[in-house]
Amino acid sequence: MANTLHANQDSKHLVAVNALRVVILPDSVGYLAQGVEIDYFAAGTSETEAMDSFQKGFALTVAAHLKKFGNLVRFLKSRPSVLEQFSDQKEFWEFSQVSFHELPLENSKVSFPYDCITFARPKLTQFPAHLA
Amino acid sequence: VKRPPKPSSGAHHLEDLILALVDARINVQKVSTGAYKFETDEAGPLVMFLPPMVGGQLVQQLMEHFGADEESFLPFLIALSKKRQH
Repeated sequence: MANTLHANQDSKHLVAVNALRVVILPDSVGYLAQGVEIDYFAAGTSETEAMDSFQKGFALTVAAHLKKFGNLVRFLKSRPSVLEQFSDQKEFWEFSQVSFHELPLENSKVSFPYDCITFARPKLTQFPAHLA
Repeated sequence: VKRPPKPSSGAHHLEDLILALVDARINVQKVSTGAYKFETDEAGPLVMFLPPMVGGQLVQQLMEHFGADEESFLPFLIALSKKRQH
């Protein structure tokens, strides 16, 4: 599934095709970075730590799946259920900030359906109580 | 797979979370400083960098990812409840 994202940053117009979207959510002790297309997630006491943990852990998880199964079938088929509660909230899917990052899969010889990671912060200001 | 319960939104110690995952028969292995590999045959491996304190949303995500049921996590939830009472 192609996910095209557009963002303006420093007068530059950025477009990412086949971006793996990651939503930054508030958590009780910091932030949770949750993949939209893939059920991978990471936590951190700051947004930066959550994003950094996502990138590093994501790469190690891909490597672990390749070592054990020789493919990413199980990893790629999983979908995050935590985002279901926002499926009908339009404001959640409008992002206030989007940042682009390279996929940390330098030595991977397998075909990967995403060409970059985008970390996005929803415009939504009122999150469910268990997230806030 | 039963849907896991909603955990408390409070802060949880990483050690408690890992013990609960072991009790739920999820294989846990420390791979480097702050990084842990969680694994079941069904879900496969999941490598994560975790801070010493984790939030309720992360706990819920881990439980859902591995299909850990309420019974498996009951001791963990009871322990958290007792901690909050003190």
